[in-house]
Amino acid sequence: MSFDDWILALHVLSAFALVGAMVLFWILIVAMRNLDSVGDTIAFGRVMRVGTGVVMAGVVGTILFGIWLAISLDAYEVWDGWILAAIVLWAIGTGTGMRSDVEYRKAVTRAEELRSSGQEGQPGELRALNRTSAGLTMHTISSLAIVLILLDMIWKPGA
Amino acid sequence: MSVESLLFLHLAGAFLYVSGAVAAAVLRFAAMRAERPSEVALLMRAVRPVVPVIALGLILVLVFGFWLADRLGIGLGSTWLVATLALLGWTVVVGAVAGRQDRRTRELAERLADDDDRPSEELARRLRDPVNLAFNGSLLLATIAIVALMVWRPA
Repeated sequence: MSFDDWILALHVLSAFALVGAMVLFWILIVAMRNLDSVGDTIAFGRVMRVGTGVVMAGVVGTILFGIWLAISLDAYEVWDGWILAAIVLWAIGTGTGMRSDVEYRKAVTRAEELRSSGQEGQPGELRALNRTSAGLTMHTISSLAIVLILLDMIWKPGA
Repeated sequence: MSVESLLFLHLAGAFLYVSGAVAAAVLRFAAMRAERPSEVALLMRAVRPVVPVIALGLILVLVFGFWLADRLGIGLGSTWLVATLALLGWTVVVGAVAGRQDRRTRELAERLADDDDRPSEELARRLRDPVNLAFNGSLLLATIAIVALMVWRPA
């Protein structure tokens, strides 16, 4: 196996990490929609932290190894249309994903505040935070960007 | 159907399958760290919607994987392909056994949560059952090995 094959493998493994964490977040988003309890919100918050770590590894790995490949392989250039499109989609996916994380983190932060002040819940407040429409919209856009990147990577329009 | 379409559907299935397996493992191991039975039940209940994701992924991977192999002229006797299919078989069988054990653990956690929601030794013992942990760990390792085999295609 050549060095480029290893880089390609790491690029694909990073993509699996990224998509794996995105699906985990979808499961958490659906499961958290009816949560109104401090303990339950904090429990999911811990899982969210694991997901965030995996997303970061996937986000960094895909772009780093992807650009490396584009430079290293003679068949492609970084300024090829489909590679530029992938980079733009990656930026959109990363930006909206980070924004989504901020929105969902508010519920966990509030739950931790309530617990430290000895309260086990504020009826309705945590549920509203767990149902953030801004977070849901951002995660949807982020997921769509990832699907478009996959389509772009397979069809390579203009290559 | 074009090779690109087959590859897209095969990869989409692979992403769903691996994502589901990783999500289930993360939730299962997070349940081990939860203190109250209600939290354990909550985390283990969240694994349930993952099952159809894994099943759909498996179907897409197999159907479009075989189709793609046929289209590209890849022999079904290739070592990496046989190893991949054996590992997939392992994940299906062990996944069913471990899933049944986990369902009983979740049901216990739900009963304890309905009673007084205090930490229980029996629940902790079931969550740390070495056989169940070995099964769940092997599922995760098999999934990682499948991805590695697909990417590197040794021999």
